[in-house]
Amino acid sequence: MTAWRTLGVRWLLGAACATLAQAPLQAQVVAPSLASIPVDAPASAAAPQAGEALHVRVHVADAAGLARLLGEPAPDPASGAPGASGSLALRLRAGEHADAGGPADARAASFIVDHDDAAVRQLAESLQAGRVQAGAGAGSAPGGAEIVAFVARRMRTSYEANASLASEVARSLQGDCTEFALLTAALARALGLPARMVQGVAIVHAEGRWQAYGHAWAQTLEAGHWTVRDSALANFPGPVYYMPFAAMDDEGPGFRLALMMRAQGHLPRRIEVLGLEAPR
Amino acid sequence: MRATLQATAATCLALWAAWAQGQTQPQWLTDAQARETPLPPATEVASEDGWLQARVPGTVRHKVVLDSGGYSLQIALSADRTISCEVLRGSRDLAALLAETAEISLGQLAKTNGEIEARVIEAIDAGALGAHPYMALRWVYRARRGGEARIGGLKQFAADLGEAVVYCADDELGYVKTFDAVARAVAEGLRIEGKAVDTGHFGEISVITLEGQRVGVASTVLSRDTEGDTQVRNKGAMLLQRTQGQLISQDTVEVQWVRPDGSLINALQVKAEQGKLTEDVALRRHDDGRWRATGTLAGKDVDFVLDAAPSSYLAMAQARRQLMDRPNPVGGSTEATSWSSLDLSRLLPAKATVLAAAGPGTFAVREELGGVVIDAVLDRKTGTMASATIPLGALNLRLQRVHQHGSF
Repeated sequence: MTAWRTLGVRWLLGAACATLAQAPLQAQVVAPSLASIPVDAPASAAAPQAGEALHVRVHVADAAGLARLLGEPAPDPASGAPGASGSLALRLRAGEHADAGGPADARAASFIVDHDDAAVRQLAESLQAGRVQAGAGAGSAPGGAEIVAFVARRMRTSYEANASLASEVARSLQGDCTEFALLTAALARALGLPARMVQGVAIVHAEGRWQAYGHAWAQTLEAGHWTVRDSALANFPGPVYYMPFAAMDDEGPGFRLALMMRAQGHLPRRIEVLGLEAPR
Repeated sequence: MRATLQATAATCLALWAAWAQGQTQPQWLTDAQARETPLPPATEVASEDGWLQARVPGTVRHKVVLDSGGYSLQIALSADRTISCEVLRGSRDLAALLAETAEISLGQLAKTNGEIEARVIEAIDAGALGAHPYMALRWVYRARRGGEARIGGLKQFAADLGEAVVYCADDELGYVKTFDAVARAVAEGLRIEGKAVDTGHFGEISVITLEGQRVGVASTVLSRDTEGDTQVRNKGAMLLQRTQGQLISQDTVEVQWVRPDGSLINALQVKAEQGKLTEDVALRRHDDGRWRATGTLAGKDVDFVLDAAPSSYLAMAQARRQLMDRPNPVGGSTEATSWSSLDLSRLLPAKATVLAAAGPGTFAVREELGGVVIDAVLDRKTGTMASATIPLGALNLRLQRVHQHGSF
């Protein structure tokens, strides 16, 4: 009866996000049923141009709940009663997404974003020292883009790593999108920048087709706006469209439960690419 | 793991540059993968210290002695076919054992055959061998030395017998059924100190599938001590091929001690990911009457105070039985509080609601745990899950019971 409870949901979701970083680099994607979210796109669906928005319909178990999370007015009429399986039409702009919320205090150290740990602090000091060496003022704080560049430079992509804590990542300096996001958020907080973790879906056009993967990234609060900071895909050559399905508002020991609950309702079963819209 | 892991390189490796170029599989490779050997008559084998006795197909010509916690068995099926097995004393994590030994074996094979430039997991298997869970892996690899590509194979099998683990490996291409039969025979025929391996007074084994592919196995064993208390031991092992030829493993152990009235005495949750301990938390009632969970979680020391006593495995199963024994259980529900690996810092509400009769002696049930919902089929006789499905986006993780013995 309890056997299913031991199954690692974060592990499965982590596995789902793992191949995103390599998909554009290698033709093979192993175990696609595990790694990717099915995407239906017309054969004529072209690669996006700069500034174009992506119009998609996502099929999820809880369309009404996802609509509430993303601040959308209502699910598609075809989706039925609230909470029922259905779909939601979304217009996604590359590199940004609707505010899906986050922890009450986006500066504080938490169980998983433990930036008070010595390993994280040491990395933060290293980042700051590098900035000063490059000419930045000693008292100036780095922006989110600098933190992303630092994490992307220091981290090694590894699909076997499965760290739960930012401090573990700071020591191992390896992992997939989840580890990249954890370290990005922790370094941002350590340097005084409010930050949060987001779990969701990244949609990209790679190898001549639209692809969607479970993914994790960070957001930092800069100039009053929550900005996507994705260290794992920092060097991805094209636009990345983000759809959050869970803000990590629970950064405590029960984060896995919170993640599993959101994933059950909001992780898409299928995504339809409806088209691209020119910049307004 | 001594002999098995230091196994000599495949003798049947063959040159085949075409495979490296992605061409169609040649007939010789198809033939090599299809070959089998008839099993010779079984013989008895025993360790010199008398700890283990086994009946194996073929012959073990060497002395069987304890070395580094295990006994090596080189089982000769014919003059030129030998399969390596080991009987390891005590318990091991099945998933980590297979993942780690695969790396060691492939590393050894690379020394003989050249750098392994590609490797593929052909199959992951998991299931019940009698009352014991097992997992198995089958690899094909391509090694290159001096411009020549060579194809080789590796088969692995591990069964958890509780008091011992049987691990077998073979680095010949093909002989899939032969290897499987030998490995199973060793595990099934094993006796420890002259007795059959203890399976407790109740046990269940379920296979875990992801999108129909076997990826793991979960088992429950109940055993009583002399005072009548019950030890509940839930174990789980999962292997996923995250990228081609790269495995990630997760092993879990949950232990509860339960009084005859169903109340919990204490509990333990242990998890290892990639063979590394990530969760080791014990729950017990302290002298001040409070339930506290202490240990390490992701390498951090934790000390959680729970606001009440959690329900035990036995109490929850018995409540479900009583619910399903009602004249019309459909629509009825049972509630409890659970201490789960999903959140060890607090108790989670656990609710089971009977939706409909599912078949003879089974009911479709909606299981809820702290907001997570699972579609399950419960066995009326045991109060435990016959099957369960956890939908996660496009994926379906499924648990299917494949073995059950005894009662409680």
